[in-house]
Amino acid sequence: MKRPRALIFLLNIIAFGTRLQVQAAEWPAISKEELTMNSDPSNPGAAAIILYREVNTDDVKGLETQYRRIKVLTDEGKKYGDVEIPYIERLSRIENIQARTTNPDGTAVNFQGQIFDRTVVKTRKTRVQEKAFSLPEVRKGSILEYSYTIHALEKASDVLVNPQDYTFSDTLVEPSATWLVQEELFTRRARFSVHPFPKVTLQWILSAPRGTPPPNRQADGSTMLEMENVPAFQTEELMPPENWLKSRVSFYYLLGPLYTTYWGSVAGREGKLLAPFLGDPKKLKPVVASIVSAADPPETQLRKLYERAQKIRYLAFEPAKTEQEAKRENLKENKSVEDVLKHQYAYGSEINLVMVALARAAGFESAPVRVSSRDRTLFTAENPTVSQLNANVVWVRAASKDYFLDPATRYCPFGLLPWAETATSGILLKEGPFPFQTSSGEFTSIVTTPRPTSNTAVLERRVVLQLDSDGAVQGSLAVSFVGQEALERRIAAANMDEAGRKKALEQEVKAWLPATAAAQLQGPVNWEQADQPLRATFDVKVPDFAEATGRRLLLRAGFFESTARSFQSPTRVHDIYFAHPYREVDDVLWKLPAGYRVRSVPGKQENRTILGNYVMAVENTERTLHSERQFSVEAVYLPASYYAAIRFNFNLARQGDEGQVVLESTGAQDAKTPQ
Amino acid sequence: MRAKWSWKARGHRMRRRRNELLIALLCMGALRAIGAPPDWLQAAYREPIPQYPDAPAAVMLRNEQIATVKGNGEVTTVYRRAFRILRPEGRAYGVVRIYFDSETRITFVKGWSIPAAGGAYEVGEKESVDSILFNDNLYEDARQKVLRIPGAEAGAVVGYEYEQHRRPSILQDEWLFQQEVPVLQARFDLHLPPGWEYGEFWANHAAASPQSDAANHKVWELKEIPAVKIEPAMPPWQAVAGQLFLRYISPKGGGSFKSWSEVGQWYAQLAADRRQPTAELRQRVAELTATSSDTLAKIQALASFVQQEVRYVAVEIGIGGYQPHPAQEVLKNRYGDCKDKATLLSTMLREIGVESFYVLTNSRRGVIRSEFPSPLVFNHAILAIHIPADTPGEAKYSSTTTQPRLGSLLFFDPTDPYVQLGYLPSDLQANSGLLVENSSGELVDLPLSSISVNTVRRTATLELTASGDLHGEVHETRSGDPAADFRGVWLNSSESGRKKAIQDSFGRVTTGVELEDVSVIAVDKPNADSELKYAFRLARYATSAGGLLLLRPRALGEWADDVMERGDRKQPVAFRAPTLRTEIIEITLPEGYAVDELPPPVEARVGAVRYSSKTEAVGRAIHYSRRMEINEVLIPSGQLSQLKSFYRQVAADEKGRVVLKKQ
Repeated sequence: MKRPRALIFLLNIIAFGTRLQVQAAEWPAISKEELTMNSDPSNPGAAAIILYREVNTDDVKGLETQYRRIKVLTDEGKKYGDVEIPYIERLSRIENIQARTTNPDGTAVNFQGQIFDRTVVKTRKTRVQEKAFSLPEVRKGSILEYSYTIHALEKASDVLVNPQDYTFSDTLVEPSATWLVQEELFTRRARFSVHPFPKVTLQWILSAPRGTPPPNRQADGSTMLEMENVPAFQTEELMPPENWLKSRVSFYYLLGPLYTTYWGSVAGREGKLLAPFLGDPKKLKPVVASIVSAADPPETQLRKLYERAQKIRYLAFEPAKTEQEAKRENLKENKSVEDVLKHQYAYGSEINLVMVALARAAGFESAPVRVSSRDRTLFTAENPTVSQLNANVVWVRAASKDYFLDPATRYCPFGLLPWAETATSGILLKEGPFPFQTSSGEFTSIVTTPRPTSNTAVLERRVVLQLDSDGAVQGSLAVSFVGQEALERRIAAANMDEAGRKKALEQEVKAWLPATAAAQLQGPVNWEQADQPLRATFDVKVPDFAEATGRRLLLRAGFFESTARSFQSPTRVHDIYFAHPYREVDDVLWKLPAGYRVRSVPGKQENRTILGNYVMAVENTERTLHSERQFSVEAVYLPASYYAAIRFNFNLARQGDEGQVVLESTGAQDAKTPQ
Repeated sequence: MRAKWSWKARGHRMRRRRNELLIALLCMGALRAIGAPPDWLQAAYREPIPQYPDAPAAVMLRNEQIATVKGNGEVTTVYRRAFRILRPEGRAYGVVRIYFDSETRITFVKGWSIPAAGGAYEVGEKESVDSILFNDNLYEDARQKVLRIPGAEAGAVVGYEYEQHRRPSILQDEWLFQQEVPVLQARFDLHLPPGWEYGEFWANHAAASPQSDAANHKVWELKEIPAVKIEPAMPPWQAVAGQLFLRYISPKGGGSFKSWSEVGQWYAQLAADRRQPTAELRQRVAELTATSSDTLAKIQALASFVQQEVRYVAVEIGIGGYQPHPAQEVLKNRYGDCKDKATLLSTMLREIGVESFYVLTNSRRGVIRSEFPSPLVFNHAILAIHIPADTPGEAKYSSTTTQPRLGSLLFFDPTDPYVQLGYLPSDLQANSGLLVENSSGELVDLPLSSISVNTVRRTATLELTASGDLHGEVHETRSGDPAADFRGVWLNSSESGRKKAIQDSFGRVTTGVELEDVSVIAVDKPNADSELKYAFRLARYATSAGGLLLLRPRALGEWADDVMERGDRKQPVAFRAPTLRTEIIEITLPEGYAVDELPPPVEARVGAVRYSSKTEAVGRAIHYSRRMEINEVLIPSGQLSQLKSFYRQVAADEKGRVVLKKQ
């Protein structure tokens, strides 16, 4: 390359707009069918429907035109008559806003009202503006149309305009337009086009339902995507990240060598950029020697290094600081791992880089890894967008065993990754050769973190209860949160005081019980022992737990409200997505009231499948009942076709959890509980 | 679903997406030279803090307002507030929001903190973020200034001071001295020009006498004011928290509003030329009423037009927060806010010879104080329609009252799209409103409907199988407020959303509810009761246990509320409106099973809220019936323990099971 590559990376393109097929002054004709339609057959009851949407992007001119035609189907749909177009004044300009309302009888009213230009948020450095207007005469049955043009005020990157002036040693990807083609309304027809820079190759990634035709190149050099009948986006419980799930098309320019080595070149480039920060392993050997003994087994050494890295103050886990607070603390920039160890505080991914450097200094093979955090997106190797890699972990190979670690997550014990970093993919940040192979035997920079099992997220509840003859129950509950369950709660409580933590735990326990329950935390909770399960003990009391029918007492053997509450809907659209597999283990010992005997207990329930297990067993002994319950989910990602099976499991668990014990009065004179 | 309004409200719903941006921008505050906190804050810092049993997040050390009224009526108020943050949750007190518009300008703002470790921080105008209010209004000039004070950690004292110039047209002030956290010291310092007087009114607090070192200098001071915490289902916070309202009385008169009549006069003048008919408006009225046979039918036609065909859009600039747009403009645009809609309807009604009056009100019941006439207290506008004497059919309307001078008035809210003519939205019932006449006004009580108006009646004919499955048909009829609520949900939901709403109404069930044959009657007709019919199937509804079948006859919905089970409570419990719910469920039992035990009948009562239920065996069927009457809109604090017991009895009844024995 003639010019420094780093500079090119700094040039972000604001890529917008092209020729507007729909000329605002000449609104396209509205069909009779559009005028008379009064519902969306594909989504009965929908507030409105997008009849047509067109977006034309001209990267060369820095323009984008937007056009929408919306049919209002219900009163709620009238809200689409209010239009707000946000923009940042120094980056773009909104022009040529035109709009009209067409009534069901075909008469049209052009928008001639005021367009408000207001400052949404203003600081000394930033100003976010918004153009707002309201269409006239909007009613049920109206067709709303509006169009506008966005002018980009920043010049396009020269590398895209004059690529012939550059030489490329690596693949370079520059973004063009990205269009979200799935919205909250059903879209009948949509047309997207991009007019690219002529001397560079335009590529795209299309994420859309099967059968969607790919974008095609037009004779005039533009690329066009046409779509029909794009369903309204529907949210469901336990679905993959919404932003990842929605249909979209992303265009990008590809410059330089072949794309097939893209992630390898990104890995090498990023690895090289990090090398100065990681430093020479030899220099850290004295530090490592002060932490580990050469006689320690490899994993012990790693654990000690991990513990050392985790002791560093991690600024991201503290409440956000104002500039004054940061200035007051006078925190310096860390330029190397040695700086981090000296300063004892870290920004961003620096704690993980410390772990990599220490591991390397101890003689282990190690590298930073950038992965997609599963709570926000899933990694798509075909999509050359580095921003999808939004989390950092550490890879270490010790005694032929691969470890993926994240000491930068506060309270995350050795061997555990936060759930969003498990079973996800990303790239090792190092230059080749790469230590992992694809199924076809090729060495690759792409790695996948281990898939968790239900052993890494366990909720254990052990309770001893005294049941009274009036249905009241009280006792002691010991709860253990293991693995992910502990980590999530420790992170949530990190910035709370003891009163706040107590309240949070008591509210959680109350939510497992009937509304009238009281739960009071007893004794200390080991919040800071991150390598241990989080343990807490409560006094619990429920005044009306068992139902007194006259001669009988009826009670739920499992004590706790069922947690298997998901999947009540008989239908499902999206795939099913659990944060992580998990297991619940309940052990309940009931002491029965005098004057009652057990008439019946629920039969043992047992359901073991690859998706998860459920076991509920109630044992009747002299004056006591003992119930044991296990419920687990073993899946992370399930295609929607598995919905019936997972729903069956949950229904079975819910029914089992509601299993009733029947106690009968023995007719004794005093049926009160002995004190 | 409650429609929105447009009056200058003090509280504003936030849009989350934009708030995130705001917080991010606040963290980017610029560096400033650090000055020493002012003496008043340093004095507050030294205050000893009492022990509070309920561990509040913070304590307010100072709540001070210094109001200086100039001879020209301009009011300059300096606000000084200081908090000691006691717990990490109290960090929020380090973020200050100050509301202003073109008539209430902020001329000075500064904030400080004194952390526990010492070393003060100072921020000012340059570190603040200026933003819109993030409510649903399309355009308005009301804005907020947000200031994030550094060092707002547990143990720190944060304080801020700002100066605001208030509109001279309304010479009134309010001092909200009670807060959500305890207040150690509150002070209102008033400087009046020579010859001026003041009037005061204390709400939710005993009147305190001011100290005075000069004829026109008054100081009110209060100490150790307990917190008013936000509790679920409590009345509006402003209706229960202590406040001092002041009016500044100029020797020249004007602006202080000594009576509601003056407030009415002020508004009448403001809206005087807004109800001018045009040819287009007259034509529209003629078209809309062409087929109406009588006056009430014409009123109905016009009301329906404004309610349904004029979209709610609020554009408020300057005085536009109070003054409606002209009727012809609203008609032309087919949009407007609450006062615009009232204006258009009033103008149209005049064309058919029916007089109507603006009624200014507040959608938060209990906030308007009859003792203190003020234009600042309103956030909503509706209409009172004069019904000519002997109009047939008038008696059927619940939102009518008879005024000695004006005769029969029908209150109507054209902003709410789901509450029919003749009814008022629940939050306006048992409320107050200023009836604005041509040159006066009168505060009137808005009528409270009876339980016969707001009803939900459900019947179900069901069958239980030997395996415990329950299936059958349900028929629900709603009137009044529940009908309006149902309309809002139904008409704004997709088919799947509607099914989900029905499924959710079953409460906690062990298996999913399978629905069939869902149909509605008159749901889109605001003038009729709405009906819902559906069939359902619930697998394994009844539980088998040792040869017994345990059946909960209350299969549908939960009426028990856990509002009293969420910790200690001090505030009264508010209900939306008087409501009657009835339910009759007939369950045919499977062959071979007989009733062994039935749940006992239940009679529960707290104040004018009553619940009764009865389970009977009738042949091969179980007949379950229950009824809940809510005859008032407030359970006072003194009856909270009875309310808790009441809801527990309802919950126990809902859990009650019939024991069936295999023969």
